[in-house]
Amino acid sequence: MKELLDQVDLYNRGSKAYDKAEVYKELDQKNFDDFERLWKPMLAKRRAEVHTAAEAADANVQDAHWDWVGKAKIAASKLGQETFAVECGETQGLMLVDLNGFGRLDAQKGRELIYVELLATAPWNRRKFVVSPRYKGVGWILIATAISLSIDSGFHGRLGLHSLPQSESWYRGIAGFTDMGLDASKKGMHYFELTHEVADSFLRKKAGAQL
Amino acid sequence: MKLHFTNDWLRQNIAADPGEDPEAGPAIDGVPEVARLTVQPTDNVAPAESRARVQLRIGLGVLVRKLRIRDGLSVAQLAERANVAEDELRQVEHDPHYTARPRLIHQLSEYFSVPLVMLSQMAGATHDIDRFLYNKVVKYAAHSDDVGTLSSEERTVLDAFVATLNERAKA
Amino acid sequence: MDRRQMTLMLSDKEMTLLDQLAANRGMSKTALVRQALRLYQSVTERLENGDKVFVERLSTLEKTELMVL
Repeated sequence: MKELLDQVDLYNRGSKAYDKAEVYKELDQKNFDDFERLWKPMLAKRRAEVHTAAEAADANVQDAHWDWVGKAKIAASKLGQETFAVECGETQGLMLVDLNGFGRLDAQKGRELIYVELLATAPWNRRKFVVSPRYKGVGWILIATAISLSIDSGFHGRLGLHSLPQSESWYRGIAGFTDMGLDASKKGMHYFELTHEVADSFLRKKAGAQL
Repeated sequence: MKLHFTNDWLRQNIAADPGEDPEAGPAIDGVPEVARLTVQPTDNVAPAESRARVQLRIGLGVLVRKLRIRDGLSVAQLAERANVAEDELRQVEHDPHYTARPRLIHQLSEYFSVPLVMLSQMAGATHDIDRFLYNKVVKYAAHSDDVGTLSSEERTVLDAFVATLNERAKA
Repeated sequence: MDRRQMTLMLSDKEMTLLDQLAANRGMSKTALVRQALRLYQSVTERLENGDKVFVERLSTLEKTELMVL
């Protein structure tokens, strides 16, 4: 059942002020509707603009990841998966995590961690889709939520995830994840892990400090 | 389940973060991402200061400066619009020994719509050097005047160079 | 979140193991039991779907099927 975790501050780039947003554990019909009615049309439009014949081959692979609704519904029935949403009026961000992950980094080899399978921000918040993105901070909120789940599950904040190139410098430089390099099994993505110590530092991080 | 962060923490860190929010997992938008380049990011590895790399970076500096002038922007204005640090931008434009961070290259690529894979090569962030690109960059940089305006001839040359980069990126 | 309570009777051997595992894994006993439940669901679901679950010995690359059911 969908559960409100807390109210958080989300930065509105337009008004240059903070709006109140909610973080929820588990998704419901509103999130599914927002994804289908609001996110997908913008994603599809941009995709159509960018695609060339050569890239069409990739299209089917990417399509599989659009099935948020399907994935989230499956996750609801599994103890080992959790979904989260950030809402501020509409759904601003979505996350799917796996609780059955284990660390690869030497420092935490074989240790339980939360694996972030998918973390996505609404297209209207991204420069890739709009000239003036609306909100800033969705990614921060969701990563911090994943760390919180890791702590509450007894995993001490440990996380694992795969990142696309444009997010790598955030994970490495801002959050202090360890870049374990290119993962051959995950097309073009680097695998990152967050250790217990760095997770601690991250949550106590003062603005702008390097980890 | 409890959230282990405060709004104060959130506000402070969001405000100080110059970049875009991170995402994780495969792109759900189906918009193809740039193919992974062959080696470590410039934060961890200092590319060899070979003559070729210096030449490529000179070319990068010229390109960024010319595109900026074409758009009628000061360094400060471009920095603001492309969401990058002003001093970093100045260094890219003028110092061929400066190692531009991946994020800066990425932001400039997005802002000017120039292929990321080409800009990364010019920034010296890749292991292998594309000989074809190298020749084109050196030729372009050699023909550019260092003045604060863009003549129509220079404009033509700039457009042709950008077109070359776009073509090469698809190869 | 709705919570329900259960009293669990364990043998000495089971309790000792639970204590050891929790200590080794750096988790509370409750967290460990929850984790065990998740892993159990994950494995049994695959088996029920007709998939097989294997363990691979790194030194020899020898695979053995994990018998659960």
